[in-house]
Amino acid sequence: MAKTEIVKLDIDQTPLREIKKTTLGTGLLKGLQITMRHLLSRSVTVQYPDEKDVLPARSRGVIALKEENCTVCMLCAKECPDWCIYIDGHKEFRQPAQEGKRAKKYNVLDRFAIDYALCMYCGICVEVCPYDALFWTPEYEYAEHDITHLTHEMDRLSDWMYTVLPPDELDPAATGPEFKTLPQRTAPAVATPPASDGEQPTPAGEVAAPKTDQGEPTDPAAVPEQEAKVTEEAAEAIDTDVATGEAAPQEEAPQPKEEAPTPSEPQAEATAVSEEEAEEIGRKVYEEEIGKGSDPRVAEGRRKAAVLRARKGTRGPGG
Amino acid sequence: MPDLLQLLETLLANPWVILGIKLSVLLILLPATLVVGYVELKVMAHIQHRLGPMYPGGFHGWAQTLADGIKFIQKEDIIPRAADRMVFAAVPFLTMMGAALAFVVIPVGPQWIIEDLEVGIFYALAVSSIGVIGVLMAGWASANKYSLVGALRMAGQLIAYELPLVLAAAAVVMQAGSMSMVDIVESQRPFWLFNWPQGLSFVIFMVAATAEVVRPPFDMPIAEAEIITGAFTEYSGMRFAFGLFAAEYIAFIALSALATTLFLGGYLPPIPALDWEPLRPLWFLLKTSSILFVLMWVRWTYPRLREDQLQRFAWKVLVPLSLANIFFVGALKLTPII
Ligand code: SF4
Ligand code: SF4
Repeated sequence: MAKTEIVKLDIDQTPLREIKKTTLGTGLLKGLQITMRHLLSRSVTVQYPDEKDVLPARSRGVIALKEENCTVCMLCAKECPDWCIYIDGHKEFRQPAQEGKRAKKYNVLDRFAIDYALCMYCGICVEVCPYDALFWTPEYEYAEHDITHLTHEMDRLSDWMYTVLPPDELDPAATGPEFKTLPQRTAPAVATPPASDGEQPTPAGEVAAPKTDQGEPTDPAAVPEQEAKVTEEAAEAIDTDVATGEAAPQEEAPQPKEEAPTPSEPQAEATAVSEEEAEEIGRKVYEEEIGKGSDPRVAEGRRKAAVLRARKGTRGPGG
Repeated sequence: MPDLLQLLETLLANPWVILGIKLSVLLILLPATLVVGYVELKVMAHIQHRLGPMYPGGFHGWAQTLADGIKFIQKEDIIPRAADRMVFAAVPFLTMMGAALAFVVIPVGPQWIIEDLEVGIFYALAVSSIGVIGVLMAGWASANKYSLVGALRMAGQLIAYELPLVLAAAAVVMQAGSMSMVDIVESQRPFWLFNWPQGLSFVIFMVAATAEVVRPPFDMPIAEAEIITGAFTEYSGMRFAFGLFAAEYIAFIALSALATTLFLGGYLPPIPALDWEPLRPLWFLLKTSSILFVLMWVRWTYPRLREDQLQRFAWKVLVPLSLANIFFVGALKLTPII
């Protein structure tokens, strides 16, 4: 049996009555002194429309939707305590690659809307999304005169995506890149395209396009080959990075493309346009967006997306 | 300088100029409430680390209270169907009148006074209680239980605090040996800035005056959290603005001016060397503004008392204290000090 030790706690034994004892009226004077001190100190008001506070980078302003990542799993809509997320989707079937195999079904997102008039910014939807389709952005200026306009549909939610900040730097003490397996898998995909055409190294974004000259369906998603799936994943990974604004990979990815565009050019598919034309299209989109009065970040994001699409020869989402 | 003084004297001898000055005092009162209201907004804001109004008028929102007034005037004038229309409508006149009449006897300078009544202080305290009749009328005419509760609280508060107020003033009258306001000021010449034999009377007077003008911490008659706006719950628009706000601020200024006259030497300058006729209104204004500021400061420091605490404080502390004070001043009167 263990011996019970008696520990004497060091408690202040001063009776409460003694602490509270004050001379009559000093409390009143102390109150006056405190208010006077506050009166003379600087006020903390930020004159909002005239001056703006510098918000912490991780401020929770509005929620952005990375449409491509959403699998219509409905988790966010089910978990939302306010029931203010509206999702519609339908199933489509992917043709089996080989005779006799089952057609695969997959979900297509038709509508995704968040009613910010109801949302209480709890962030549960962002937490719960298993596919990283929802992100916080620090934007907060989206007040409306009409409450119905506070329901942001897919297009507006996707536009917020352009204002999402890059993720934090990894902690220096964090387990290094060897902890991640994904880059190792995608790296060869970017460096040596699996397509057996003997193409020059091209970034993943363009890999999807050459796939089409193998007589497969134009929709890259429908490419059944194993390798194609890998490249698709790589493309998606890079896409996500571009859109989440992850600075480093985003800058690196397009650059090799511009450095060595010509070798891959002759082999490029007919629907894909040349580098200059793509840039030209991008510039037009950018000017159009700026002309519409869009946020420069949104315009820049749309420009990038348009350039990528022009290169791939695809049209936009839903196109 | 003598020329200027002479000119001033000839001007002041002209009855029409005198009449103009007297009228202008009343005309100054309404803008003065706007200014005091604005300063109060600012003091409150800065005590709470805010900036207060910043937009109306451009410079630091100076036109905020003016804009508020214009807004009130534009608002719909609603009278409840069950209300006693005549009585209901008469209320703002009474409350305003009660507050403004006190200015008749307040000396801004020995000649800068509308009428130096023989019974000046008596008159001032009497008219400042007229307002409560208006409040009681509002309470009964509104046909609303909150209005009635507020009005009765107001009446109870007035009865409780009028006594110490009058007793504190009585001590000053004893000292001066006259009820005329100018005489009272002149009797303070030996003391100039602060009439120290009346220190206790001053404190009692200020506390009672705060209760009298229904300002926090004694604002139970219009305690929003309990009884909406008390007697003025059913009032809206201009009637509300004049019946409650303007009346409150005019009474507030009047009682501060009264306290200045009774205890701070009125128009007398802080040091005898500065005793120069044209500067006298300035001293008066400075002293009154300081009292106004201190009362605002107090307002935003202390929380509201409870109704029973208010009554207990008045009857068990203030009244005995002011009676003792009368004896004290009476004893002083036997010495050569006053
Ligand atoms: S942040 Fe808004 S939309 Fe998301 S779960 Fe919370 S309430 Fe729903
Ligand atoms: S939880 Fe994520 S993936 Fe699932 S429906 Fe919501 S946004 Fe789409």
